[in-house]
Amino acid sequence: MTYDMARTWFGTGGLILMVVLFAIVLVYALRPSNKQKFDHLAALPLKEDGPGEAGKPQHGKKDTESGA
Amino acid sequence: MAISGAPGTTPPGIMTSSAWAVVVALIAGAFLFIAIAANAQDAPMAVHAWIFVAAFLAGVMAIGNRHMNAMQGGALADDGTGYADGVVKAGAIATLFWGVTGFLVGVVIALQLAFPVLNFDTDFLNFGRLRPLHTSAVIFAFGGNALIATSFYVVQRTSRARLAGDIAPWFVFWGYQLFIVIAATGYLMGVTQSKEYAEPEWYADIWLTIVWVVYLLVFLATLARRKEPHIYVANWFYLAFIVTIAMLHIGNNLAIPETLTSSKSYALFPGVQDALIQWWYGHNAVGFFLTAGFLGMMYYFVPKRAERPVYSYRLSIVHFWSLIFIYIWAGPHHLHFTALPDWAQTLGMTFSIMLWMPSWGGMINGLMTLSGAWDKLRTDPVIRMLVVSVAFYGMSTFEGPVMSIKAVNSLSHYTDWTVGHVHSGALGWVGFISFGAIYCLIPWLWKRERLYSLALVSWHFWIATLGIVLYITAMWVSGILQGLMWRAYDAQGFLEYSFAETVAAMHPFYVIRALGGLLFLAGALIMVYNCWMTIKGRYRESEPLSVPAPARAMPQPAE
Repeated sequence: MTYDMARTWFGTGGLILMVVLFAIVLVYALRPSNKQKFDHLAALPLKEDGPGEAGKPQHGKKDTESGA
Repeated sequence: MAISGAPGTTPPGIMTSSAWAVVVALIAGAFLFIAIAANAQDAPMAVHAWIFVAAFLAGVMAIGNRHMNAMQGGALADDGTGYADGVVKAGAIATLFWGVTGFLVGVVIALQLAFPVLNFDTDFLNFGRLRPLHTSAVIFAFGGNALIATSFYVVQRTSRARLAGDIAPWFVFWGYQLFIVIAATGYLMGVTQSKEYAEPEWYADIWLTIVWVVYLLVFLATLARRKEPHIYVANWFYLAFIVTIAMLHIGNNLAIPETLTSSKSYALFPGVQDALIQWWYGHNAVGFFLTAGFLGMMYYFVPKRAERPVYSYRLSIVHFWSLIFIYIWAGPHHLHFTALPDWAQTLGMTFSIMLWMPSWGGMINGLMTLSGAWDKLRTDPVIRMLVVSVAFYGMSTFEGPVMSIKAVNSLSHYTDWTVGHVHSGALGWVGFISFGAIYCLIPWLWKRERLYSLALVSWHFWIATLGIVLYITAMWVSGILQGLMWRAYDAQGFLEYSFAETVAAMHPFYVIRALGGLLFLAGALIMVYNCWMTIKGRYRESEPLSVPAPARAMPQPAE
């Protein structure tokens, strides 16, 4: 296998592989049936923490200059 | 909700068979480095070997001490079932410490450029040695500790699982500090392999590889025991950061030591191949250390602090994959108009321009997470800091692709414009997102109702912002001036200005830049004071606690 052959094949193959993989990502991200899963994940940081953190003050709300 | 804490295992600190293995490895390592110290070819190698010996023996003592404490402790604060936050606390403090150190060295070298007499004609304090000390201290020590600490915090919360391993997370923390000390003392002694952002020599690189692999394993094992069905997007970014940095670090540091007892090594690749690998490393250090890692921070702390869900989780998935697909190709734009083949330069430029889209997609996702909570910008200076950091991210990721265009690069390359660009990203994006995350973490970790003073956060915010504005505007003017002076020809085709004339012309901007850096440092010192008082359990008296006393779940900490 010459350098030119290797370069052509890896270059073309790589291009196709990347485009296909990215298309799969887009399909996964945009599929309507995934909406519920994504809504759950989008709010994941806001969920109350586990028992190891019980008694933690509800930060954020009160932690403002105006106390609002 | 139960936290998976490996039921039935021994409480934290008690010796297990793996703890014994660590102790044995540390003792073996100490003997190895005693042998290296005894046969060292140069003084820096001997110094570093003794530092390794001392650190390894301290590690053995610490593990023994933990075991003894756990045996006698009775009811422990950490019974091994909750989240492991001790290492996160240590990381938050280390972030503050290295941040101030790195900013201080930055101010010193900025002043050295404005007033060269401040080099004092000594080796140790020479600009050439302090400059890598500054870059490594802010990127790897400040940024790295912020990333390790927040990643350990975030992966536990979003997986609802305790951090994997007992000694392993602490090994990552202390092993990383040891790497920082070896790298920093090495620079001062003149030990360097002269690769930008990869200056530490071969033995420090091997040590960091070991630490980093353990970091990856801790992170993966924690994800593996998650109670959530899906891996939250912040963890994807952190994971991309950890995996890619491992790959880059190993790739760019392939070198052959002179001998195993010498601090000097030679790179495996020659010439332009070495240059390409260096900037494949260098730019992806920007892409995966300074971007992907801190985006992980953004995707947790911005929604958490704003109390709003991520604006578009779909966009975050496309953001993640497009960012990592594209970033890895952008490195050659550092080598425009060099011996690198033209097509590779064009490739680097093209991919840099394509990066606009994922970068701005991510920025929009971060900013729009505040929709419905924009009023918090007025009332919460921590949110202000987080949001301005995302705005700086947008600005510097707009400027970067512009500068990667060959026509622009022919003016900007090797000038202060590049330095200004880096600092709008580093001070604005990386600095502010880390400050915001630490301001969130300190009260959460130490169970305080809020920070000591939010007014001081405001002061920090405005002083640091003013500092950044002074810094980057001075560097824009200085850089473009410098670039134009370098390329000016007279009617006969001779260069219009000598190099020394361009240096003299930049002096006022160097003074302004140093002033900007000083303001940024002053802001960081305010932050340290604020965090210190928060950890001590104080609340500033003129800022009353916002809720009526009965509503407070927390007992007031002892003062």
